[in-house]
Amino acid sequence: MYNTPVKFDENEWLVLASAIVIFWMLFPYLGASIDYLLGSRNWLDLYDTMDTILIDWYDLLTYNLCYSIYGYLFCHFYKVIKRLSPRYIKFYILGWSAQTALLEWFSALFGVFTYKGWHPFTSFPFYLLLFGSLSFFIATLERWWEQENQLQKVS
Amino acid sequence: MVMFGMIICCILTGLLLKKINRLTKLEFTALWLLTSLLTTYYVASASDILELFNRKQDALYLTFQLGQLILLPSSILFFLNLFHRLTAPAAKVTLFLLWIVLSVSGERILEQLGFFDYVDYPLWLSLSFWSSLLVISLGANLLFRHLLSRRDTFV
Repeated sequence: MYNTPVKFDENEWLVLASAIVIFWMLFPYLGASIDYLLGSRNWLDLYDTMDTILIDWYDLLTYNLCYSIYGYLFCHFYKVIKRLSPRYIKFYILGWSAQTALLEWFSALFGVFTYKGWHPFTSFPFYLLLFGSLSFFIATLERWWEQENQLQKVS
Repeated sequence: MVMFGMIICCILTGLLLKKINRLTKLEFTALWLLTSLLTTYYVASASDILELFNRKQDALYLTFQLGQLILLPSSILFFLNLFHRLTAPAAKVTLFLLWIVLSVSGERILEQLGFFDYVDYPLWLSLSFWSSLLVISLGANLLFRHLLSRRDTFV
């Protein structure tokens, strides 16, 4: 069980801010990178986003707002479930991947995605791989946090 | 040719990353994400939305994207590593100015090599972009360092 801070003040706000910063940037980075690589005209060209084959303002808004909030929620609930019921983590990742694939299919109905070589059924295993890797990344970040915290205390 | 370009990108990235030893892992992660995101948004805005330059949609596209996603952030991190190694303010300012000149020159060389075409892209815009990117990276580095050093000690 984790100890609680003596007083929730600027220290805790700063720590919280730094945790938010990494996760807030990670998901837009992943979204933009994957769209560039899988959706580009001359490479795989598996799908297009929004109205045109080019990036527009709503693509950037989607990356910054939708992907980051959704990804942050994944990380938040991941940590909650890991703390309360670690044996359900695999089900959580399965469920979140299925939910994301469903949301993607729903978005495609409204034209957010236009599938060319991509099939919605391919999304589920893809998201499974993505969120599985992310859970490993979260664990790695926590480990680095603890290591650097220990080094700081020693110094 | 494409594979050759990608291999060169990966080798250069590896060489740069090997030299980075003055940033903590969390700083490294946060700064990598920040510089990649800023560059991705800038390139997307400048090429697809404002049409200031055209990215090539041929075999060079993948090399360009890989360079943008991995080589550019690692070069910025290498710059930050060098920046922290220097102690004299004059040396830091010289490095900063030299890096801007190298970046702008590199960009012009890539344009000559055919990775992209300028449409309406003046020199001052190049200078503004590269200097802003370096200033933001430096500022973010200081902020992340401050955030990470303000961990509370739990009772």
